[in-house]
Amino acid sequence: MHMTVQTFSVETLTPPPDATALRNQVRAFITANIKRDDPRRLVNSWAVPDHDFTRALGEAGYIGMVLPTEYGGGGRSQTERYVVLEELLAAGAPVGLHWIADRQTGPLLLKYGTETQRKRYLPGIVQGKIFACIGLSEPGAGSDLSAVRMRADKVPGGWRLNGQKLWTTNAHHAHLMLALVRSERGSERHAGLSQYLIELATPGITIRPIIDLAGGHDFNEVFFEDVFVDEDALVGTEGQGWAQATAELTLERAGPERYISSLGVLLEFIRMAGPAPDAATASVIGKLTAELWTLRQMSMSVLAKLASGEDPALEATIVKDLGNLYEQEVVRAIQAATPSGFDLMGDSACAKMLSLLVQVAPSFSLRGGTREILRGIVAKGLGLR
Amino acid sequence: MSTERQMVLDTAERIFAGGATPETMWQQVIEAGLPALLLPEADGGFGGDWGDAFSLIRLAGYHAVGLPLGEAIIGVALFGSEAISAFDSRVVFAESASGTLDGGNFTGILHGVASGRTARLVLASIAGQTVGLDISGAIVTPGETLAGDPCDSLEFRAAPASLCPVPTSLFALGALPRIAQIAGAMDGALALAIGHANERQQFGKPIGKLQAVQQNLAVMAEAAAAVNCAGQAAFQAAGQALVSTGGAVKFDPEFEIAAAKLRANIAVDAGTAIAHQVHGGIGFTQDYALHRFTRRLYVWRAEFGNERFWAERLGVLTAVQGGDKLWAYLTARSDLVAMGAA
Ligand SMILES: Cc1cc2nc3c(=O)[nH]c(=O)nc-3n(C[C@H](O)[C@H](O)[C@H](O)COP(=O)(O)OP(=O)(O)OC[C@H]3O[C@@H](n4cnc5c(N)ncnc54)[C@H](O)[C@@H]3O)c2cc1C
Repeated sequence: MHMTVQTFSVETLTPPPDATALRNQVRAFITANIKRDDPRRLVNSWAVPDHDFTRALGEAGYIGMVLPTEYGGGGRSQTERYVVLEELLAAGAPVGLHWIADRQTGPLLLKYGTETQRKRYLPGIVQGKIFACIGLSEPGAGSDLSAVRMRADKVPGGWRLNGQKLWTTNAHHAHLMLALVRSERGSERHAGLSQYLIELATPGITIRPIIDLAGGHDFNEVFFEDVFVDEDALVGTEGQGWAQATAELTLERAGPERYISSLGVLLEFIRMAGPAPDAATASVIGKLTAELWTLRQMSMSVLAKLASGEDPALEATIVKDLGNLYEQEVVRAIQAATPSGFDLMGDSACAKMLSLLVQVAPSFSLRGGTREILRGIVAKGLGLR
Repeated sequence: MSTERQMVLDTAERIFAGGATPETMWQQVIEAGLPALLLPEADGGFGGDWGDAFSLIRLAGYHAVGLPLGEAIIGVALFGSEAISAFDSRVVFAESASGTLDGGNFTGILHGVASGRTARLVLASIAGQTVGLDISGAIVTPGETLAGDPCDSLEFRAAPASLCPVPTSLFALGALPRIAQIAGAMDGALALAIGHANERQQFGKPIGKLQAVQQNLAVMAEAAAAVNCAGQAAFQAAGQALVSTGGAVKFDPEFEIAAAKLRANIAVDAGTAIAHQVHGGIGFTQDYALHRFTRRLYVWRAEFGNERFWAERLGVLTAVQGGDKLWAYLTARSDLVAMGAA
């Protein structure tokens, strides 16, 4: 019997009983709060910061939805949160400021944090007032994360941090960084790493912008020079940083944002094509829709697994790789299918979105783990090495 | 899945892996009652749901079995126990038809009827209507697919055709089993490729240790994963259609079937190309099993709608919703289907 080769165990997501009502509430919220002045802000929108939107979202109870109420959270289900997330992303809502805190920092604190840490940070995260960034990459540690060199030395009352993080998205807005740091002198690879929650206002921290190729300022380099943090900054168990960061990566990779980044331009292209497109245009729309629909099913299946307490690390990796390919393909296929005379520098919403996306799309298969690293994980899951 | 339904899959696995000739295997499938999967137990079925139907048809694909099991399962679901008593569950679909309906009688030829020679009832779409024809009155011209599976033409002269209301086009219903068959055959070919990569040694180690080979197999596995997921969802949508019909059509699953068949057709590219590449010369031989999967995949991706057909069709279905309503359309449909399945 070898019914065993099925890399992706499909699980059907049972939507919350009030899914329709919830969708309508979120849609109404978005309509009331989103600014539509610049179409470019409606794509890749989980990289777009907007203080007013995030604050309003927090007030409406759409951040930290699954965190327990004792920490200010919504105490809602994973599926309710999923519905809200996909609605926000599909509408191109500017959720960049709080995205990381909501997606991974909050849940990680709930799982590994001390009571003090939870009480101090979770309520602010839920209210959309405390933002976070991810301190994994360094100049010498990209795909090979275990090459992290930033150091934490034990000192009376706490830790002294030295080193550098790189490509840190959101650091210039964030209050907190959850960093992977070498806490044991002379340790190598996966051993001797710990996670620290660092308040970025602490003296000794310098944040320098890195401007991306499209002129945007999303990521940064962050320097630590003899930064003192108290004992409370350690998250989880000293020396267990690698295992904790791996769990964090599942959260980072599992969400619908990994396939929806370019949806705005597809919808715009469909608007432009009208209700009765020619065969070639219909064909492009059909193919992109088939993949959109498929990825959404796959993404919901991942969430169904998460919601039932299983670890969908492999499935999440597959969906992220296919999702990133898709986000890039949407851009390529639409640029290839625009009618002659279409001006990429023009004023149409489609042109504005496309001109941004063609430039930023290469990053989709880098951020959160490169395509090659993801496929290596899948190959391992297949039992090859 | 209940133990009863797991037993159905176990029985099926034994039959599919048994290696009998197509005709004998079809007989075994019918004797085991597999086409009655979706019928309630009270009606002689197994009380399976459409997710089970996907699993069962996928399993046939996993063993490179080219029998029209999916058509029979859907046929029995549509016609109830009558399809068993009157037609021995041997219900099949015609991919296309040429001819005329005159006063309820059909004269013409049905093409692309999988296992038409051993079937009893064929469903065909003629002049925009789905009709059923008793095959006993037909002249059979046997044919086969390039994979060697029986695929026949049936000629009728003034044969009585009964109207069959179906919840979507017959063409879409015909595409449905192919999606599950492709999902299974992709996984079957993947299993062979993984086994081969772990065994075949070159440069002093298994080729599965070479990163280029690993990355390719990951791509293939992801394509297979996509078809499996899409297929499950399309079957659930089809189930929703039959649940909500109760006579009048309320939910047409064409959108989901179109998306899943198109995704499956596209996945066959990566699936077949990588499976062959990883196998090298041995995979190109008649003795080795790989072609049993890949040649069927080449057939199934074209049957009941190739890439061009479903891309254009889905493009039109999508454009009708328009950019403003597409997302709401997708979510409303999946919420409905999931609630129906729950
Ligand atoms: C927009 C953006 C936002 C980001 N935000 C953050 C953030 O907030 N926090 C953070 O910590 N990091 C962030 N990153 C960093 C990101 O995680 C890294 O860029 C990524 O992990 C790759 O590391 P690298 O850039 O050093 O490239 P490298 O690791 O040097 O890789 C270069 C190339 O070599 C390939 N390669 C490397 N190793 C292997 C291998 N073993 N097998 C096969 N191929 C290999 C890679 O796949 C890639 O194609 C961000 C990156 C981008 C682009």
